[in-house]
Amino acid sequence: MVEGEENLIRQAQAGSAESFGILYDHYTPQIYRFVLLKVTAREEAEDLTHEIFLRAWRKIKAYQIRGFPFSSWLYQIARNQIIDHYRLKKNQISLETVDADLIKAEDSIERDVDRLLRLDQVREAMKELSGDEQDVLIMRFVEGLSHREISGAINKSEGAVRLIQHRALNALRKLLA
Amino acid sequence: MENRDQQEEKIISSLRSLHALAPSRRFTDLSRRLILLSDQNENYLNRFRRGISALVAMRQRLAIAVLAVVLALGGMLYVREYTRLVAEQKNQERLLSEARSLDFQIELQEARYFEESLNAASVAIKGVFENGK
Repeated sequence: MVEGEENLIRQAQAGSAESFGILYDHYTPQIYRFVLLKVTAREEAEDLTHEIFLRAWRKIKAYQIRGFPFSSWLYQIARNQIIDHYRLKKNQISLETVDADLIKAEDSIERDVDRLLRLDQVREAMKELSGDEQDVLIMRFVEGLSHREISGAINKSEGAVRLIQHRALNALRKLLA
Repeated sequence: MENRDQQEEKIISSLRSLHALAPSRRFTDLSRRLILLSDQNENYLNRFRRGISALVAMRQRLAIAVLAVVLALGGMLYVREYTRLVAEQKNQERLLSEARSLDFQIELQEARYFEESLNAASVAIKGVFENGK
């Protein structure tokens, strides 16, 4: 969460572009990562991320502060945008179409070839998981969100989130065995 | 052989390493600027209006472009035609001038012929009179 987040949200709801800009700066990297890991292509991820924040800016007056971080609401918008994106696209992203920049980015993260291969395998195996399972794994382990924050984002109870996480890791383990 | 926990730990470790992925500065700067400049209160009616304005503006631009092309083409044709007419007129004037000059030459030659003929006739007649005495 951003420091003074509630205040920033109220100011943005009153029309303060500067306040929304601070929220944008803080949350863009994690929303972008979430989208990128779902759609794989960098340009698509950028387009979708832009749409997500544009929608958030236009609909922020309808946002109600309920004790969840602002990111939960952004993730809801992101999930809906991705569903719409796939509905329009109707494509399966194969490993061959993975954006070159994504591979380069991973290469900068991992110099160990074994780990790089495993990273690639993990990403490929994640495509076999359900949408909720992918979302929970990304939010929990890539972004470090708590179960409570994830429950706000995917509209399920904390217990359901823990169960989904357990099932997703189990499935991944079997796929990678 | 790895146990279940170790396998899961490796998977989680791989997922955590993806946190280093980040959007480019170029993208975030542009996206941020566009979003904050956009109308926050845009509703469907405004979007419709904006769409129509864009369409009208585009048609206006297209009409001006078409007009400019027509004027340019028309201008070129006019200049070409005008040049041809001027050239033709000058040609005619030249021909006329030549013709006039030719007429004059003919007249001059005829005058000389008549003069010479007259002279010759005059000499002949004089000769006849002188011979007749």
